[in-house]
Amino acid sequence: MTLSEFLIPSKSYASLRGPEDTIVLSSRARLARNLCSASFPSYAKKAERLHVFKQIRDAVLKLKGMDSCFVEGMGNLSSDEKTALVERHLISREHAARGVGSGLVINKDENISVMINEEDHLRMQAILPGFQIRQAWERIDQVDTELEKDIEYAFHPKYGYLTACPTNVGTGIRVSAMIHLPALALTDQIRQIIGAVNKLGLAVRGIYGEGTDALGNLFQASNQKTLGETEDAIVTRLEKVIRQVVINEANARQTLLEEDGQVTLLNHVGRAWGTLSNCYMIETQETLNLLSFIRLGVDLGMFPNSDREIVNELFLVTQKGHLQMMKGTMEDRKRDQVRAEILREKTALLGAPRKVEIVSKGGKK
Amino acid sequence: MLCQICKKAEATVHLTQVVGGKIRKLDLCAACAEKCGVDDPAGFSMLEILKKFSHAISSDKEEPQPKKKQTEELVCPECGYTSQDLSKTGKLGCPFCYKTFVENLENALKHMHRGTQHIGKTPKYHPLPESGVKPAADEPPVKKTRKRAAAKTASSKKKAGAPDVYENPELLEELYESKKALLKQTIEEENYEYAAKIRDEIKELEKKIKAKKVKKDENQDLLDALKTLFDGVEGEDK
Repeated sequence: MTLSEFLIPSKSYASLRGPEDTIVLSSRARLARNLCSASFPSYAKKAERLHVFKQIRDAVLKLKGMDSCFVEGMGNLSSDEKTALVERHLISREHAARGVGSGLVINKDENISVMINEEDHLRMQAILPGFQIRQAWERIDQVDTELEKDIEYAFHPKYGYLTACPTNVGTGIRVSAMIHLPALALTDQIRQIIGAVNKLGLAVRGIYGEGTDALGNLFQASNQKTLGETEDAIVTRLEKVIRQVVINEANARQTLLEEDGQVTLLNHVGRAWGTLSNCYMIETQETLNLLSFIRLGVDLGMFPNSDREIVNELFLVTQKGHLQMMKGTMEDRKRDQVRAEILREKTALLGAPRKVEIVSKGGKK
Repeated sequence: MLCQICKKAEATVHLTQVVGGKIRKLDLCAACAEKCGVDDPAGFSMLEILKKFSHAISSDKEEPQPKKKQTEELVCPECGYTSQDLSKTGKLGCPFCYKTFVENLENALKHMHRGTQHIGKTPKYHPLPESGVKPAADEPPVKKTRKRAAAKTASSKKKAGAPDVYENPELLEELYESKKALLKQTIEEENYEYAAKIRDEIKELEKKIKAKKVKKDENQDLLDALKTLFDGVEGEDK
């Protein structure tokens, strides 16, 4: 089965919903583990990596829930396929750069993915839509406990689970949430929020682009430290902080709705809609930024034929990997045209945005 | 001022140059300057002059080459990774490297993380002999085992004088809770001698926790600050 045959079609993937997903798009928990008997992937020779790959792959395939999974070596995936996997957050950019000797296993629901021979022998993650950080941790914890039966992990009584990089040692956990903060961006509060979150021990970065100039107002908040704390404490901290950021974003959205005439909102959402429904060539960067406002508009009920799924789908299919996996590899200029075509067609379905009736403070969902 | 090299004649040639990131000045008399080739049209190296005459230039504060730590290059016996590899990449070669390079790592880990003692999940099915988690025929439920192992490891670490756990108030609380659970279990098992030991440890912890509670919870302060960021309006969950 090829990757495009395996992957959940973009349209269906786009309709997966989760709690509070108007702000927290997805939650992820990743564990780093290594075999006790082999060198770490960056240092190991190819033969050793292949041996480790087979051993881990066989153990992972035995797990329950792995029937009809996708398993492949990175050497057998095309560049577009790898990019599409990064776009779905199933593998890291680093893993996409790997070749023979590294591989992956993804379950059919696409909420568990296991990277083999990335920076560590095993990097397994659970990813769920919406605000489900704890659930993602519990899921991957289960997978880890089951895998333990077949694989002898490298574990040290003082330093915990041993990893290639000391920044991951101990629990080996990285929990993160992807958050969409367009209102905080419009009300110029992003810098403060990021500063405060950093002080609380979490790392925040733009998912696309660098630092605070995040493309599409999308950020990923994650823990930075992995040793000296229980997984539960780490998860709890992230939950608390994300919950507060959600409140701040929701309040910012409310402020925009209460503005006289909702001018700021209408201006940004309207222009985004205007451009996307009338462009003939457009790059990813601009697309992500404009789609962010469309998404905000949809979330606030500004589009009469409101359909969250359309935005989610557009977000996916206009990205390079997905676009080319569907329509074939093409030159930049051609791709920018095809992207524009897809956008024009779909945003027309939304209809022009308009002012929202607000019932009372905090009443509008 | 006198020439820095011969210390006899008056210095008339004053050289200033940035050498090795520092500003170096040399005051020479005409004769010594000529000897050093200062007026050589092909140029001269102030650094060389400094080196050559360092014994004479008493005021020269040229820093001695920082003595490289006398530790020999460590090599991991399992995989061949060297300490140089480690300092270049910041990463390790294999799990055994954590034993080989423990000294280099201990300090780095202290700064990178909240503590250098792991207190989270431990592998249930393949505990290594050193981990202190002995596989038992009828193991109690995983959670209890972990707490027990953590408490045991922590109490033996206490004896060894490991300070890390006791500086962090959150860890203290966790340790306190796990000791209480352990005490309950031990009493149920009628192991009263061991229970007495744990009871004493719990008393010690209570004292430490009281002392720490005086310090306000920093995190809570920052969380409150985050809450009031939005003009002090009380946020309501959607």
